[in-house]
Amino acid sequence: MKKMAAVAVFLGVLGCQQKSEDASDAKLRADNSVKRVHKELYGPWAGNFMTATLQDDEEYPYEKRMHLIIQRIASGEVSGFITISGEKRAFKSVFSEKGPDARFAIEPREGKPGDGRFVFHSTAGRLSGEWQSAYPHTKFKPEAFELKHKEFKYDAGNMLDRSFYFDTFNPRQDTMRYQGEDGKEEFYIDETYRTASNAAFTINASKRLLTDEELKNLKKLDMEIIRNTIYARHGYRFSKSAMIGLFEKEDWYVPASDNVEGELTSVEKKNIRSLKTFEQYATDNYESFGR
Amino acid sequence: MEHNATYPVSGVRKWAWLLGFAYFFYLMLAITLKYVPFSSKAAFLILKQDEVKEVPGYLSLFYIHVYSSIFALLAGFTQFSSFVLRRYPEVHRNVGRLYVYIVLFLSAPSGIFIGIFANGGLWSRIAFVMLGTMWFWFTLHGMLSILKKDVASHRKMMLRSFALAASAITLRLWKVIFVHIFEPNPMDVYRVIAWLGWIPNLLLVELYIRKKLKR
Repeated sequence: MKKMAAVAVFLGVLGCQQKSEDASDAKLRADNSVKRVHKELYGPWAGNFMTATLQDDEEYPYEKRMHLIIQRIASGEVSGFITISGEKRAFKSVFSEKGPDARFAIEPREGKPGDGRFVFHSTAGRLSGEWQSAYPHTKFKPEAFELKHKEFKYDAGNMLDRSFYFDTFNPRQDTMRYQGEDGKEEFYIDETYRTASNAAFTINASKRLLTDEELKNLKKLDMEIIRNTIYARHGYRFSKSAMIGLFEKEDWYVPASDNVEGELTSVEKKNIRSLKTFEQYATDNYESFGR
Repeated sequence: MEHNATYPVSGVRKWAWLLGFAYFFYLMLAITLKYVPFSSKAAFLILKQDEVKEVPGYLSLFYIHVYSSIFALLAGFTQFSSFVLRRYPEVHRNVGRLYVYIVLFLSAPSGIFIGIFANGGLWSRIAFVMLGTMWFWFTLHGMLSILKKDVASHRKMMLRSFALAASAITLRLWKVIFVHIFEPNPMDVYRVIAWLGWIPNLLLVELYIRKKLKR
């Protein structure tokens, strides 16, 4: 008797669960029907766009790269993250549809002159956008750009696609004094930029251990680039302007993670240690008297 | 030949040289202190880990060179002063002996050894081995001449010897200048200063000998 009662209770509970599952199933199916329509828009996207910077009331156009992650489109709303110049912001915007086309807008900053907004259009699973200047007297004509799906994928062979580089972010500044027109002593700041050699773009510190022999002959900037390229390969999102600028437009680079220490291979870890040691040596001794 | 004790450098210039030398001596002392306490990874040794690990005796000879050479440089304060020579000839002689012992037994031999493993490839190594050998040679003959009481030869040889000792300073000066102007790769800097560090010194001292010590 007791056994039968137990089975009956068990079946009863099962039955109740069954009913609640049916209810949530229906909601899921309803949700899914909304998601399924735009599933192709989900995930990471990347594209180069034209924007303008404001300086002394003049607009100066230049190209930048953006990374977009669309996480959810539901109930007329799209949300995700947008990363530009190393700055990652969450966004939630109105997603308006008209037949097969849809559009939404993102304004990364709140209404300051010189800011802008992105307007995105999607058609048949393709995503395009344009950046519009919010500057009140703007002469900037927005240019449309295509976005491509850009999943992050680690590839030890990824290299920076360039052969030289000037570090304009950390110049050596010398004060130059001279005689002004009225005989007064004037001065200006002369900036010297460090230059990287070809080695920075040919030595791959993810693929093999670097030897002391080659480390000895690398300039500090070369070593910084080689070391940071390791992090870039792992999708590290840089916070320093110099590194952001270097890797941003690289086709394979996706700023996917804020901490990649756990992903580094043993070869990479060892190389990073060596590079840091030699970089410190260069800092202390390269241009100074002492050694 | 009569020994003329007046050195043909005017009063102000003598002080300028002395002060300049004192400043650079102080810089060299600061470098030497980077190697205290003893460590296989101190300062320049960062670039020599291959040698430290694979060449027997390298670390010891490196440290012999670093610790002894600063004492050899001390001679620059007393040995070229006519004042010291006239008033305290014993000082000249004793500091002279110190200089000779240090150079012949410690600084030069160790310098030649580590020069064999110099950074920058074959030509750097040749430069440093030549430097060490000539330093030894001039110092030896400077000592031998004064033992024979040949003061003229003693002066010339010791001037040459110290001109090479001073390459420790001039090599580093050239490095600062070079890097400031050209920003070259570290080994390229090294290759150039390995020669530039001492050849102009020798040339200048030869010019001085020819012009001022014509005897």
